[in-house]
Amino acid sequence: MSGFDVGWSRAFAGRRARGSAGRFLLGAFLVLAGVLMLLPVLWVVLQSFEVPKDQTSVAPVWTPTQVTLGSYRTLFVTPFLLNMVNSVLVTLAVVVGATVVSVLAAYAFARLEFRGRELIFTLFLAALTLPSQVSAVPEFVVVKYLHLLNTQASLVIPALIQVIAIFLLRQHFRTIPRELDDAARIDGAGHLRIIRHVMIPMSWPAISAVMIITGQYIWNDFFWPELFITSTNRMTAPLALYNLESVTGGGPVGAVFAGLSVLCVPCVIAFVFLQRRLMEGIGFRGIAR
Amino acid sequence: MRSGVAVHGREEESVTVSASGKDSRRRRRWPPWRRGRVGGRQPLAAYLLLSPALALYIAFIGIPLVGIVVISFVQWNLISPAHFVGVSNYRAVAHDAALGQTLWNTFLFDIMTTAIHVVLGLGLALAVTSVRSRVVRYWARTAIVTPFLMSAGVVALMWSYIMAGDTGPLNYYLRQIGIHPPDWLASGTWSLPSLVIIDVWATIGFSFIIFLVGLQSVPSELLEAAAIDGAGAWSRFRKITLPMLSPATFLASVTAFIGAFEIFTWPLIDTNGGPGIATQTVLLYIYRDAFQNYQFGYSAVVSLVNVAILVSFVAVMGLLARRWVHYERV
Repeated sequence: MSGFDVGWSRAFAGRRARGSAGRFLLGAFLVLAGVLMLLPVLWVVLQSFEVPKDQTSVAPVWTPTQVTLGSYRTLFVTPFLLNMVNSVLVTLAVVVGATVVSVLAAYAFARLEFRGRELIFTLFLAALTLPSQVSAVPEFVVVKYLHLLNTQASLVIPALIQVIAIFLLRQHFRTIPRELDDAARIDGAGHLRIIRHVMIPMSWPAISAVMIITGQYIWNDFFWPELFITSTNRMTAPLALYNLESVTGGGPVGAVFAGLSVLCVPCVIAFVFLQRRLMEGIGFRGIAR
Repeated sequence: MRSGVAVHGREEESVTVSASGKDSRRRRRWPPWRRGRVGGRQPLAAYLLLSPALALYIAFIGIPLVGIVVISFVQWNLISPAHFVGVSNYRAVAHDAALGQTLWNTFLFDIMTTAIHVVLGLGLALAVTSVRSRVVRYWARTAIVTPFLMSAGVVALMWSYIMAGDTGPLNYYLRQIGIHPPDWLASGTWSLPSLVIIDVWATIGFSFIIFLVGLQSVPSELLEAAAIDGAGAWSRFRKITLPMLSPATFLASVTAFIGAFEIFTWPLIDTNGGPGIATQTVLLYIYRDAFQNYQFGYSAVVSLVNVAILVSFVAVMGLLARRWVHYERV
């Protein structure tokens, strides 16, 4: 992980270090900042294992008098498991589908010549500058006329066009030496084979970064599910939790805490494992703008 | 446009000729009038490969963009047929006091969030890069970015409990240290700043990473040289790091600005736009007009106004950026 710590620490190496007290304070500040950032999550997770008496106590209980899975039992009486499956399936479908669509389009933009290439590419790029959510009204109309309202397909199909992914992959494909696909073509490979055996292996880091940022966006999205999905059984997990909370007027607090924990913890774990790729993905998206 | 293609073709030929000699001559792409014959089967393949993306683009980006202009001239609730009403939606929007308040809320929220994003994101990135201990670096980085990975719905629900006036842990501890805390989300004064706090907590990770990546491009030799010449920490920061970071700063501020302008989930879940309309933001307003009051034509106009305002803000930011963003490398 040394990729991200060049800069200042190295910059100070040539010079007598700043006072070690200052450095210690900085470290202490960062440790504290991290604790403050994660404290809300910790509080929610602890709450989810507490008995109702502790959950409703005004003074936050950090050392539960009794540990119970009762909140989780209440939560999974609702179709929350189904909602989680929905979330996973929608995310997977978008990640796979959008990556395929983007790889094909990026290859066409990067390698092939055709009339209108620059125009189409410019139109695609223009879509990047428009805020996606202001298209809520017309997109709702399109989805309604395609008879997709209140289906999972309404969350998948419109998300398959990820302009940023097409753009990033096209940039990356252009850095792959052309001799490689020329050689493959002489050996009789068609475009699809070149994509599969040259482009994808050569740009796997970029593709996986694109997959992670797309997956993160879809998994966490709240707006479109809120707009399109109305039946409880078809909701994605965060929406179902909101529904549970608002319908019951904050009744089973424990169940909501349990649901929040179930949705938080995978994020933390995923981050620990995907940290590097994710940072690259975000940095990559940033630099590409 | 055409010249762009031609230039590309020329580049490509020179590369292939120098690299693989005789073979590439068969695939000459210059001059352009021969291109069609040589690469004859390419356009079809290109359109085939592009067709999924193109179809999706037309259906979910192109048609909505044209559609929203059309819808803005009709009165329509999606059930009974639409009828043309000319510019009366526009006229109504111009006299909509609630929209004015909504835009003002969004603007205030946006300015506060963007400023904090830039200052705090940069500060944290500088701190993380200057600290020695790997463990501390790893801990801070993980903690700062983790909330960014959580669903907006999860974040909003979580904070509605934390900031609850009487029962929330935040106010409990504030009372413990002798502060008389406001009823954050239900208070006319504090509800918008509360949403800013939630937003910063949830999304600071993004600006933090942008600055972290940006800091890598600051050449350490430059900082070392300045240090040897006797420049203090502040002047090195002011004269070297800050100018070298200006592209990252620009990116972080534009991204934060656009993101905050589209804010929706916190006001929906945490305050429901209230109290009154104190935290009603543009997207929530559009959402309510269209999907709760079924005024699709009206909300289309509001969307267009929203886009126009956002685009002009970003354009101004882009113009101003020419004065302070440096792209040259040392």
